[in-house]
Parts: sequence; C-alpha cells; structure tokens
Amino acid sequence: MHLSFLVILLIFMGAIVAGMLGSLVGLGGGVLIVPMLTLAFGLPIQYAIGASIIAVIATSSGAAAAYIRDHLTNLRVGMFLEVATTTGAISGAFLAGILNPSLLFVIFGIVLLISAAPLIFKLGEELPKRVRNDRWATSLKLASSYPDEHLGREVSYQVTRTPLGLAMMYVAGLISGLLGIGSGTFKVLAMDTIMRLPMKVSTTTSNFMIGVTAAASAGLYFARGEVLPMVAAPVALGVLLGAMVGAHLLIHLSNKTLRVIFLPVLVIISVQMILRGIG
Amino acid sequence: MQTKERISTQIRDASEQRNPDLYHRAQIHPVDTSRHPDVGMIIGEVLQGGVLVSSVVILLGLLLLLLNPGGAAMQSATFPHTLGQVWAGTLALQPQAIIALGLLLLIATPVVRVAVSILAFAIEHDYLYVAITLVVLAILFTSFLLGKGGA
Repeated sequence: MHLSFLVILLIFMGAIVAGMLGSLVGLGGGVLIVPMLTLAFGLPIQYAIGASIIAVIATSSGAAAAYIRDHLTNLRVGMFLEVATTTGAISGAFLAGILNPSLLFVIFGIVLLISAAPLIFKLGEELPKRVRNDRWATSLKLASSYPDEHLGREVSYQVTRTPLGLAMMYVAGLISGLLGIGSGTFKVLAMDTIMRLPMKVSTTTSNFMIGVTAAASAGLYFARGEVLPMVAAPVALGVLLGAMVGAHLLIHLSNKTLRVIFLPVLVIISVQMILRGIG
Repeated sequence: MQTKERISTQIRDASEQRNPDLYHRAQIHPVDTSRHPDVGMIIGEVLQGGVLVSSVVILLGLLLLLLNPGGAAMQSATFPHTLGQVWAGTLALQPQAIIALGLLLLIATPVVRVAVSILAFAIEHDYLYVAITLVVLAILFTSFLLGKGGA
C-alpha cells in the first residue's frame, strides 16, 4: 500500500485529535482510531485495527506508570485477571482473521455504542459498601487499600464474585483483540460492577491491564503483516502526543460539558460504522 | 526482625510527636518500602522507559524516511513483518525496518513489565503470584509463537 507524505501527516494530526478527545472523556484513543482510518482514510479495517492496537499499548503504558506511583493500582488483581484478558485477546485476534470484514464494522459500531454508556450512566460506586471477600479473593489475597487523596485517608476494600469477574475479563480481552481497542469499559464493568472494587482502583487497574492485553494480540497482528509501519507509526506517536495534551487540558476543563458534546459524535460514528458494515 | 520492627515503631512514634502533620501526610501516601522495595517504581519506570525508547526509534525512522530523497518510493508493498526481516533491514538502515523495530519495542514494553513483575513478586516471597505472573508471560509468548506459525 502506497501512502504519500501528506496522507501520513494527516493521519498523524488526526491521531493527535483522537488521543486528545479520548483522554478528555476518558475513553482512550483506540475507539476513535479505527473509525478515523476506515471512514476518513478508506483503509481496510484489519490495517486500522493493527495500527490502533499499537496506539493502545502506547497510551496505556504511558499513563499506567503514574497511577502505580500513586498506589492506586492493585497489582495483584491486575496480574490475576490478565490471565483471562490475554487469553481472550488471542481468541479475539484469531477471530478477526476469520470473520468477514463487514461483520467487524457492525460489531465495532455496537461495541462503540456500549462503550459510550458510561458517559451517561455512572457505572459502579466510588466507595462500595458491605463487600465481603469471596473464597477466591481470600486465597488470592486480592483485598487491599489505597490512599484516597480526596478523602485524605487510606481506604481498605474487599473483593467479591471473582470467578464471574474473571469470565467478564475474558470477554473484555476478546473484544480488545478483535477490534484493536483497549476495551477499558468492559474491564471496568468486570471490576466495578461485578467484583465491586472502588472506582479509582478499578479504572487505574483496568488501564494497567490494557497494555498487556493489547500486546497479546499485537504480536499476532504484526506477524500477519497487518501492522503497517507507515500507518501505525504516525498513529502511535499522534495518540501519545494527543493524550499528553489532553491530560494537561483536563486540569482546566470540566469534562462534564465535554461528555455532553462528545456523546452525539460517538453515536454518529457508531451508526456510520454499522452502516458501512451493512451497506 | 522483631527488633527491627520495634525500632521502626519507635522512630515512627518519635517522628509523630515531633511532626504530627508530616506523619499523617506520610500515612496518606505510604511509601511502604519495607514490604515492596520500590517494586511499583521499577514497573513504572519500565513502562515509561519502553514508551520513550520506542517513540525515539520510530521518530528516527520517520526522519530517515523524510531525509531520504527516494524515501517515498522505498515504501514497497512488502514491508518487514518478521523479526529477521526487521533486524536485517535495521542493520541496512532501512527507514521502514527502523520504524517496525520501534513498533516491536513498543509491543515488547508490557511484556518486559510482566517479566519484571515476576522478580518483584519473588522479592516479596509471594510465590503464588510468581506462578500466576509466569502463566501470563507464557500466554504472551504463546501468542507470539502462534503469530509466527500463522504468518
């Protein structure tokens, strides 16, 4: 595939915007990269997914470092659940190689709509109450505590419904490997709603897991020749840059208004993806 | 061990009396070096270092492509996508291969993080998690082997 410098530059600039928007509304850049590359640049979806999965690794790894330092990430929960997400990611990458590309467009559109849900509904609780360790959580030592800056104290928590959370994590990994996104929404769903971890712990631990999950499928995409260097390079650098700018802007902007503006955009993109798949 | 703990308790109590404000702030942000010898820090540095190094390599590749007058023409239909091709191309200073190398380094970053975590859990004598982390690492290597076979 031949790409001119102008196209590469445009992809780079688009990725900056995607990374910035993604970090501002807390969705990660990945969900916007695939629609941008397919709908705007006309790239076949498997190459768009290949570039996107690389960008997902970049943003997740960059942000995870800061969260670990703040002692918000539960490394044990993350490591244990990564057994399920990486297995899921391999299944997803395999599935992507078999499925009809137009079906991938439809699935992407539907998943994007689901991912938009947390912009309207608040999933889970900030500080869950009356949670008791299940047998798994006890033997795996999943319960822990984190320093809550807002409350000014150490918050201890326990973990429940571990097997169900693990199953949900397999699904999250599968979606990540299939569509080249971080699927943070599904990971948070598993940890927040099912295992009932505090919001701050589940979001940061989810981010921590995204990189490893993406690496499991990225190897497959790379070997299949679906990671085009001339597309993946500007996308990875652009999203990384955009995410950094977004993180700085976030201090000055209220992300509530951003979400309201962003929601219809996301719905339009979802519908466009589904239409492309059907049409 | 017990003496050590007693001494550290004494030091803590003394510092609380001398500077209660500082002590409570330390409670909110526990450094916890006794149990985790900067494990989180090391993992964080691996992640940041990996992203930085791979970004620089990718940028170098892109610059080389820009400086090369025939750069655009060199974007052949066959771009490197096996380790051997990437390595051979990098040694020959092919821009595409250098960019691919940077992308591979980026993919390797979380894998290195997992490997480092094994050491970290071993230092903590948490052998259950050494085993769990080894399983994750094995899955990652399986995925790369699968990719090689399927290509």
